[in-house]
Amino acid sequence: MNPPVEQTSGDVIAARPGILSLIPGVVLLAFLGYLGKLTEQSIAAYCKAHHVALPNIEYVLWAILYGLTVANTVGVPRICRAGIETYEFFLKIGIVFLGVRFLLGDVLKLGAISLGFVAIELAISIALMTWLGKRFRLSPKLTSLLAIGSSICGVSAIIAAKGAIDADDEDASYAIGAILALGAFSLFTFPAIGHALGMSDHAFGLWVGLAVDNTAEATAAGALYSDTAAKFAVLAKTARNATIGFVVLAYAIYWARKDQAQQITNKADFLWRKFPKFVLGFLLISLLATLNVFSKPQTADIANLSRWAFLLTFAGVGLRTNIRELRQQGLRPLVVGAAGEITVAVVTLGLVYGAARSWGI
Amino acid sequence: MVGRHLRHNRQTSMKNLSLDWLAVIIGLAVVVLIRAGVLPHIPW
Repeated sequence: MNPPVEQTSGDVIAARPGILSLIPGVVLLAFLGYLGKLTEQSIAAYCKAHHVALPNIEYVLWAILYGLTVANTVGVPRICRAGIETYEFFLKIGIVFLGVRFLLGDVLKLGAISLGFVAIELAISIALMTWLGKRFRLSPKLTSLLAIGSSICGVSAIIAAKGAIDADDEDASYAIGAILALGAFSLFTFPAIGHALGMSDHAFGLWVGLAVDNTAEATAAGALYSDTAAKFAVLAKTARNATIGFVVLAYAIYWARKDQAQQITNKADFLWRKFPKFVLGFLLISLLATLNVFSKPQTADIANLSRWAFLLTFAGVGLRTNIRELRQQGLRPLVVGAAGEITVAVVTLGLVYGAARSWGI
Repeated sequence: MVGRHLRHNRQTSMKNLSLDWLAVIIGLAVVVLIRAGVLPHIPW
């Protein structure tokens, strides 16, 4: 019997004893995130008072580093684990609030450009991953999961696809491990490359949104570059996330034809279930902002709420990164994933440069 | 971590309250409160 297909990309509140059990983890997220913000402010104040010139290290990096340190030294206390999973909720609500900083026309224009790039990226990524998977003798379904994970949106896409193509837990574990390891790596490499190439905030944000797999990591990598870059990274990544249903559906049909996954009877229903619904909230708030529903201070308040939500997300990114577990995932899926990621990063960089010249983004 | 994701995935079909919808509903509710002037200024 195939597993149910109704596993959604828009993860669900899991069965938990109660909302109270979330509080310790949320407090830990808030504490580490705020500590990151305080660290940035303290260093900046010290440098100013003592006339010392040090490169500004954003709160984003501090929050991630504090999370990483806790997770990989003392470990995450058991009482906090349920609450830490809420970092994904804070990411989504942060994106919903971020809609206030976009005019709907810009969203549609940049979203359409991003979708065009996603189509190109997708074709290259799937072709490359399929070839690499054969070359490295990965199982065909692991290859499919890696292609979906690296071309669309990381862990959510893999989880959505796992049920749809009836992949093994082990294959999904390998694919998720590889994508998470590469996501952690991209946090530190992408901003460095962007600075080395002297990329504009817009171009860098677009590139990160197209090339970094997980939404949390894409947001963090953008924020490490600049606030504006984070804004555009989220927009590009959100456009990419919106295609998840189509890609998973295509793979589901492919595997069903080989009698290795269940048939999809209602394609429209399938697409709707896989569609990341928080995108609708983002678009709605963007529409309200376009219609001048909010005053300037209200717009600033909503944008600040988005920053606070992301602050907790960044601490969560660090806390869920267990270096030892990533090492245990095996080398071959990681090598295939890394080769695919590097190619996607290079191709999307070329596309973004081309778009910057053609459309001035 | 990976096991956690998979466990989380299995649990997802047990409840229908989507995180996505929760983010949309709470987000919109907060925005309405800000628009109505109920919430105080939110600094960064």
